[in-house]
Amino acid sequence: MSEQLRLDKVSVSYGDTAVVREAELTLEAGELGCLIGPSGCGKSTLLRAVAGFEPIVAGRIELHGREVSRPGRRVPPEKRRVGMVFQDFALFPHLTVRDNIGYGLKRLSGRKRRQRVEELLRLVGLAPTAKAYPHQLSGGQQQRIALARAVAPKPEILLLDEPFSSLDAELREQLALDVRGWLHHEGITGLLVTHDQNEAFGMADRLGVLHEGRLLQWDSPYRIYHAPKHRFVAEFIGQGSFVAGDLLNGQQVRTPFGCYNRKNAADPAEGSPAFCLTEDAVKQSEPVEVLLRPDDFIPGEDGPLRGRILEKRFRGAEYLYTVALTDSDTRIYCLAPSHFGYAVGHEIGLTPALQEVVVFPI
Amino acid sequence: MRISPWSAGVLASALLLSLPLLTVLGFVLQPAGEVWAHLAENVLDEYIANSLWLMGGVAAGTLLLGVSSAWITTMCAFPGRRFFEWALLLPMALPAYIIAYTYTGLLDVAGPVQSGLREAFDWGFGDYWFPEIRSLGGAVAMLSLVLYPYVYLLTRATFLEQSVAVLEVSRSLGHGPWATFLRLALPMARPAIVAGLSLVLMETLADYGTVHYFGIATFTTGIFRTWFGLGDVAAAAQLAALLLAFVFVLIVFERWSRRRARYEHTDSKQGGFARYRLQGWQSFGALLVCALPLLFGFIVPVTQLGVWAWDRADGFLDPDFIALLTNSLTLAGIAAALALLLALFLAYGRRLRPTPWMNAAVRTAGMGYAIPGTVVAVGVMIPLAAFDNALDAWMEARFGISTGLLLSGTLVALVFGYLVRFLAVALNTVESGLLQIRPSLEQAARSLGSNSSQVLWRVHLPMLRGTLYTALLLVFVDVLKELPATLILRPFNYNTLAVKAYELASDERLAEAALPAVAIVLAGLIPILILSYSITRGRARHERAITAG
Repeated sequence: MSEQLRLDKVSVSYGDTAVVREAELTLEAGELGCLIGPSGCGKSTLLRAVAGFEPIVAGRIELHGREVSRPGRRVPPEKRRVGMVFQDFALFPHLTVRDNIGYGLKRLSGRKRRQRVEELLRLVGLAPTAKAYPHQLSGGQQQRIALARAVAPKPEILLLDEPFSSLDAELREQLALDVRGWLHHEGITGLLVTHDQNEAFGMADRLGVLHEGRLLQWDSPYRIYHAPKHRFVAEFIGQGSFVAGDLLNGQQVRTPFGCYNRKNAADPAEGSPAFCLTEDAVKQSEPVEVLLRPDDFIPGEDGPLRGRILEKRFRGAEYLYTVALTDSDTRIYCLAPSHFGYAVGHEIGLTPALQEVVVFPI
Repeated sequence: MRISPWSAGVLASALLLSLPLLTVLGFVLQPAGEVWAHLAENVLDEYIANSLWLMGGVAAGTLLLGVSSAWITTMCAFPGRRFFEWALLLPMALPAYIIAYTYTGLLDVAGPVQSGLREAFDWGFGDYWFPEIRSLGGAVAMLSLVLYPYVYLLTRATFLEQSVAVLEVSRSLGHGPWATFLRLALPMARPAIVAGLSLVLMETLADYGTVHYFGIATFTTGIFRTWFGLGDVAAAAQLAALLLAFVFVLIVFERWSRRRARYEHTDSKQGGFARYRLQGWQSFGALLVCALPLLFGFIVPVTQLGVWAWDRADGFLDPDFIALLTNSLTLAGIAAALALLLALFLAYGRRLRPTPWMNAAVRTAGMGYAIPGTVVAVGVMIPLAAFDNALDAWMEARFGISTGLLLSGTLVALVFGYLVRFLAVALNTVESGLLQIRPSLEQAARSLGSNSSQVLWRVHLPMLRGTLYTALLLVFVDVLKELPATLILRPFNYNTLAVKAYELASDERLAEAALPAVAIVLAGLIPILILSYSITRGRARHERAITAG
């Protein structure tokens, strides 16, 4: 595998306002990366900097080993070999579907271009619409064409700016899966911007969370969820609660439901729960907060911990319960298959199943 | 800062196009000469008074005709409403000077109306009182009849955008149609009405043909008299600068009201609202309000012109007339094509680099439309003549060759004048067309390997085709109708339709003037019909949306 995209402390500003600060990330060839964050966090700006539409004020951007952006110099978008898929599709209304897809293939001979267009039309399953104009297609079809058009010239990287946000939920999920498949098929590296967590979890090999212009963490989706390095990441991604704990000598954390040892990099105790310190360095022997995810506890009639159900939310396959632990004023979340429904007010048992205990300073 | 060729080109064109304006303004700083003193003492008060009376009268007239017809066609249901919606625009096709001499032919002592009255009642000359058409009141009537569509158009657009909910609340609270109109609709539409009115008043100030024909001394006729009669360039330019001061007030007024219009715009799509159903005498009244402006602003004068032209229909094949037609069409074609290219260049340059400098440059280049043709002509003539004289003197001294007048008094000067005055028409059209194209489209094209000129060629131009034709057509027709700038800037003995119609009418050869006049009106009808068509089509789409929803 080779490195396809590298961002080296990239900063982008609009006038005096810093929009992205010192973002660092890498994508291997064939990987799909996702940038997620609340609106205004700078995720789209970062994507546009990669595409070459925004100049950067610090750092550098490399595409396939070639420097494309540094302060004061940027390779124009048309010379970068990037593909871009826009939120509003941006299909050319005056061109047929076939000509839209063929737009970026001007270097190919007529026959080769036709072949490539046909190939892509088959890939996205829209061969019969080749002669149609964009306005004659549905939203989902337009998005497929926009994708085919961006992929056609075999770009170094495909950039997708909230590509599914204007589609309805069902279509969005199907298309997200399809897109992942097509990118794999074409061997294309992708970078996607979204504000939808399910989409990000479903598609990404690497996930980045942005907040106020900072790329807080760039990691696998699993680690973003279970081993967030910043409190914002822990709160923004997924459901979770925080309980108070004590850190003893920096080696042990004591919680209402047990003690956990510090994870030892040299001797990762196989399978046994351990805690890891977040980057917001924790001082010795301090009161701390521990992140608990809903899947960190298994509910049942029995268990070492007892708690009363305060709230339940139906999630289809499962219920999400809010539980108040007996003997402490701690509230946690837990999940149970929806076949076993407990009533609000019912007392249940809880078995801790923490793989990693994430500790934040208060 | 590095300057790109686009930016440099845009800045240079803006500078060149603002040369006439700067020239005229520059004369404000010059000491006033003897002629100016004479003007100030004897006629200036009259110019100002007449211009103000004219503006006041035309404002009242266009408000009355434009607002009432806009409200009735938008809010009421009566027989013929759909026809009036677009037909009320037709008077726009008639230049004021043409309608002025047509009515003179109809209403003066020897005209059919007075002759008919005399015959019917057996009156003799001087036995009766009849309003004098060639008067200030007459000029107000003429200008109002052809200019009210500006107010109608903008006011109607606002009425259509007004939130139906607001109007319905008013009705549910017990206000009738009149109260709703006066207390809600009218105040909410005020910015649009003011914007329309500013355009009307700019046209009124710019008018030369009507006031000259009716013998009313205003700024425009004063500039002509000072320039050609008294031969004082500086005084003419100073008069022009004073006229500009009036225009600037109107520009500020218009900009201000448009900004307000943005704030006051109630963002609500018009649902299927219930028009007031008019009964009996009510619908007769509505019909009258809509029919009168159309009748007197279009049907009567066009019929009269048609009758005159019919009598001399063979004149259409006359070689003189064909030469006239060729001159006009060539000139309008050249000016329109150049204006379109320039507009495209400026608008696209600004889209590529929307820096404050570029914005200012493009806005300056588009100022000319507010500036009366007379002022533009004076501002073009002075620097070009100075250039010609300087070049001639230098060549004479250096090589002993006299180059004479290279630019001034040639078609170059005329076309340049047209560009200064009418570029804005093309520029506004092209810019609003470009605004419709989402930036993501050009970014998509860029990411697919096209550079900015390729994007213009492969994406923008094909998508803008309709817009470009419209821009071309609008400039073409405006050039065809323009009278005062052509009169001043044309090469010696070079005639166009507008000039010929005006000259023949001034010589009291009204019937002969009908031929070129009819040609101008026919050309002027094309953009009006396209505008009407887009209004009806917009409404059809709108009504389909309602039935589908």
